[in-house]
Amino acid sequence: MKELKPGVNVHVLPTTKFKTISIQCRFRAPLEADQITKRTLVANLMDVNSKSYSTQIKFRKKLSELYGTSYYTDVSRYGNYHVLSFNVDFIDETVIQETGIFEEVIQFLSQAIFSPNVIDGAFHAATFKREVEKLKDDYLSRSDDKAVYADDRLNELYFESPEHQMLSYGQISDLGKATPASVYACYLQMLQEDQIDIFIVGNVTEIEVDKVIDTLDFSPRSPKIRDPFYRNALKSDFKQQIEKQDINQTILSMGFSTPVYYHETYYYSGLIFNGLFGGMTHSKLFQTVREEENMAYAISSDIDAYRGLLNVEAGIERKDIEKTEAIVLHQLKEIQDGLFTDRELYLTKELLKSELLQIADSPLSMIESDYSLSLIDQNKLSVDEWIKKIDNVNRSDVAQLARLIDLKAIFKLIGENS
Amino acid sequence: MNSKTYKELNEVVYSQKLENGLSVQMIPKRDYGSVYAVLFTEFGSNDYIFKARGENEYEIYPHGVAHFLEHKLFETEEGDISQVFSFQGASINAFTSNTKTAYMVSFTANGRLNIETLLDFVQTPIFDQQSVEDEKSIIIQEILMYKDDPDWVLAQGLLENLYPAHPIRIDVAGTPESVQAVTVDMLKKNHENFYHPSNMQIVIVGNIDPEETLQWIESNQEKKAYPKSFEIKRELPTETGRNIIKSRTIHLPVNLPKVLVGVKGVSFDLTEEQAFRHIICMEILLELLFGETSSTYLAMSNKNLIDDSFSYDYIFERGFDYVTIGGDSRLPEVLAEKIKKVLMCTRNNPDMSYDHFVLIKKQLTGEYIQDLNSLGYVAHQFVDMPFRTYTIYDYLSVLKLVTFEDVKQLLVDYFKAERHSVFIVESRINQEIV
Repeated sequence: MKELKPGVNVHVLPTTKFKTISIQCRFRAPLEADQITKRTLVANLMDVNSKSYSTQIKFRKKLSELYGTSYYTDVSRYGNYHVLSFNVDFIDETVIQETGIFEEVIQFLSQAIFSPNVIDGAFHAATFKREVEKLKDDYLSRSDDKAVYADDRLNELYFESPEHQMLSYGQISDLGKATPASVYACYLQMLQEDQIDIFIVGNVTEIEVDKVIDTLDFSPRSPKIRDPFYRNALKSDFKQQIEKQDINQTILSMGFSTPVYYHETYYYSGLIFNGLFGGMTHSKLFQTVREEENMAYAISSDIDAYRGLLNVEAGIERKDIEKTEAIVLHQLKEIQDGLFTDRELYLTKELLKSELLQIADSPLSMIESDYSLSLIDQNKLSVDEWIKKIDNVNRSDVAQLARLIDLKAIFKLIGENS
Repeated sequence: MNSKTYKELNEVVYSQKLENGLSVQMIPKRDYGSVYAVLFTEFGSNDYIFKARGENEYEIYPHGVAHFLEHKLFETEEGDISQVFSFQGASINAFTSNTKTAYMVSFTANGRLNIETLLDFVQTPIFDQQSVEDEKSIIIQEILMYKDDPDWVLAQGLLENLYPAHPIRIDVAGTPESVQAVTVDMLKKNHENFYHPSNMQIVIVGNIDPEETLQWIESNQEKKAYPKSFEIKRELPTETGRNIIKSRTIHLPVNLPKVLVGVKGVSFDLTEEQAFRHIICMEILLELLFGETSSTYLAMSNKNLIDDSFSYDYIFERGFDYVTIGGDSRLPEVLAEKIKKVLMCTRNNPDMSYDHFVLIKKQLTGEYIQDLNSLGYVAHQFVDMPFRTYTIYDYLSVLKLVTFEDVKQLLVDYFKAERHSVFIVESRINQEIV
């Protein structure tokens, strides 16, 4: 990592194993409820056109000319931060014996970031109107996937503050308030104040990057720093919500609070706990609920290591919901009591290690891993060290962590069609 | 062992057909840490009527046997095979489609062990009466889960329209009734026939030494006794274009309506060389007509007929081929009409220009090379493309050969009005408000 200017870093990850080069330019700001939807609109507006390529056709034709360069923007939530990213993946020009593609893509990215389709201090009105409608569709259709719907409702129930309750890409009720001018103001703020991290992965050298990186000419800044982790300080009450819908399956979604935060004390035992509990196919939940009781096709657990949230989700028959809930709690109790075999512990570690070793086989995983580490100022942690930390976890560490896990919320989506 | 070098792409494909008929393909990528292996059989949900080895009559099996077998093979004498793989640092997955069943393993260590385990668990099944009964409720849950997925209902609904007398219209997993009818004997017989090595391929991509890997596979296969290779006689209805339900609408509790326009093809019996080129032509054609660089896309987007869910696809498999175009839409009927109009417009579509064609070829060249980064993607292309002599690495050379005339001709030939169908999922929520 190299600091280009205060608040602007570039991370070059040179490798010759890929036939592509990937660049991501990530803007990071504190997670604030009234900004999330607007930032999402910024991302979506800047995904379709720009000042120099003012229609979607011109914009996309330029990308086609650059050998189908894939350009896209996205937003995500990393605990108490909100991240908006401009991304390009494109062909390594040496594969097709061409030159100049790298420079041209950087030019394109630069004009996409610095010169949006703006007229008189506001985003282009027709584009704005269309993108608002599309985002609205996105919110509406999201609840048509019932597993996703149950997950969203649990998230709302589990968290207390709106910036954590809503989706990482905002909420429908904010769309009415957004105007082409207010979203442009949000863009300007982002451009001037956000922490910026630029990642470049592929067949490039630091010297080659140095030659072109000035094209992305950001001003120096002093970004707002937050604890990236959402820590629920207060022991809130247990909450439960039940909803009935005209669907076949019943979905059980449970939210537990944990002290598992990315590379903090309980992180490594947390990864192993999750693998043992419901994160992998040999896990207790999968083995009991699906293989022994034959009740569910899908049951799994997942940890959000920025927010300490452990989520369990199962798709079952309506009549089995109480039994499934009891089994989930019982399996948690077993791990708390140390009732798991050395073999289970061993194979969970083996799979985790294998996953870590696969990071270097995908440009996007490499960026993701590097970025996550930079969020906690751990840029130097190597995969080998990481693996060592996993190896060092013992049975009592896992049981001890498991005893700190607390059920906080349950959402039940009852299928009335069964 | 045969090898084919693709100089431009800096890739080599090694291949060998073993004595027992198993086809082995290997693509070494030594700078990767991981290996991705797929073992698959030409056996899917469509293959439910066949003549077993040594028998004279075709027998009809319940729908969903292929998928049921996939589930059951995970059960081995050492317990659930996913645990065995975890122990060896590997992860296992599997899928069944209309024409294939595939088992995928990825790992970063214990290469020999993991490849042998993959071969062993797929080739040496155990069937236990009780566990077969137990599996039925899991599969029925799986069927119900998909029925709640409106995008799945949309895709399946269109297939029911296009293929009123073809097994593709039935869920790959079968129906709750057909799953109940599956017995141990049926699973055994289907395994004996369709999992014969001559009907299977293994594809291994990643950090491997092909010579050594081939030896592992050979010595593993030598230990297993198989009867001679034979040709499996399947019975499939040969459907031509005529038999189609033109349009259907169903109502579901969704927020946004959905629509899919389908066109049933008759190209599935082309020769390999023709088919490979034909598939690439279709890819270019759909991109020209509906891609993000087309005026149609912009017009539909500006009128709010489509959103980011809009997509198009060409499915080309053993025994059938069809095109689908559509997505979520507030005005599904209007969108369907617009799509059909574009398909029927064989002259004067401004997007059907030579310049646009050249641009799309350039785009596809780059997109293709980008995809080659992923070991899993490469391996699955071998599964998806039902060809013996052409692989994913031949794509660039064939793409170069495709002419604008080819693509224009395809537009005229393929999208005949009598082969169109429309399936719409309307919102029950809106209906109640009205």
